Amino acid sequence: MISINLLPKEIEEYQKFKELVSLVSVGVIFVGVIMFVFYFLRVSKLTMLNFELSRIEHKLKQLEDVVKKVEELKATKRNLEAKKQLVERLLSNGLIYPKFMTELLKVLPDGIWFSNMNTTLVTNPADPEKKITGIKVNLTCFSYDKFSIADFLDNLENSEKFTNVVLGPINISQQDKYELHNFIVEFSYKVE
Amino acid sequence: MKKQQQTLIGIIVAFGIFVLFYFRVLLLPLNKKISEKIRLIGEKNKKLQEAILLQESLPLLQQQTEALKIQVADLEKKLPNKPDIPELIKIISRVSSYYNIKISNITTKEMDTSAKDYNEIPFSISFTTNYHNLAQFLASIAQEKRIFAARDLVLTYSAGSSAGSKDNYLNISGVIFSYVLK
Repeated sequence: MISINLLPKEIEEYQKFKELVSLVSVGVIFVGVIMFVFYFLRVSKLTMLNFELSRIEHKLKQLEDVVKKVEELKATKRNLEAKKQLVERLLSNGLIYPKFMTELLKVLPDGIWFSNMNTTLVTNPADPEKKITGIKVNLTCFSYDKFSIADFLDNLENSEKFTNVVLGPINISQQDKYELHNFIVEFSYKVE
Repeated sequence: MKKQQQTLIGIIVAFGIFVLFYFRVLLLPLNKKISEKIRLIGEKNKKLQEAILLQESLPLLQQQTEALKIQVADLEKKLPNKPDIPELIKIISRVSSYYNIKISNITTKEMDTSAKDYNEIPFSISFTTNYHNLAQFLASIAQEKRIFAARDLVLTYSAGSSAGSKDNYLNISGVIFSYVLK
């Protein structure tokens, strides 16, 4: 049996074209729907984020007064601590000499006595707080023997409190049957 | 080119333009906005966490500040704003007589204003005592109602003292100073 296509060629092509257009349209609509859904999801995400942001901002606003109060309290506390430290530092200044005098007695061996002591407080001139860093001491001493002088120097040099120990000339004079040694020693006392 | 082909190409080009429009005009700005919001939320969240921590620390901070206020009020009495020289002289006299110190001269000097937070009120002073009483006097006066400290003391054994004796008298000169708050 022979089948004969009596349709004109143009109509056949038009049919094929319509099928192609339908196929393309379905594809376009499908892609368009996906794009729309994706866009909608993104818009939903943005809306959620906006909501989250306004929720956080609302909470922050509620805590604003508390934060302000805490900041004020912190500033007050800093100020009070600075005052407390200042008073404590000045109070400790008053104890520098008594401590120094006690430390000096610890290193002064028997057999040495001093006739004169010049002291000068040392501060850092560049320091606006004028913190006392030490005492410069010039001591005129007497002794009946050189061993005591050596012990005294040893004690000064081995002490962590005293530095820059400089011994001046030792003058010896006869006093009855003893030799009286007269010397000057300079050193610094460290304030902690 | 046939009309049908042209139509097809037209549809494809129109779709391409739409896709470009979708990404450029709709999606890209939206994504930018989302990224910006995420960044903002991150920042605000951090601030919120800090604020919550601050809120939690408030009661303790209030307690600490109150305690500190009481301490400082007590300490500030030692460091007033006015010199009150008569009060200072009274303190020096009382403590010196307690330690059997004989003051031969006391002179008020000009106030030293070189420190940042306080001024010094110096007194040039000369007195006689022994080494131990001097140390006790200085330690005692440092813990009085007002703060006192000493500076540049010169100790000289007075003539007639016997060598090495603990009771030797010293002639002492130097500066004793107190403080006022600026």
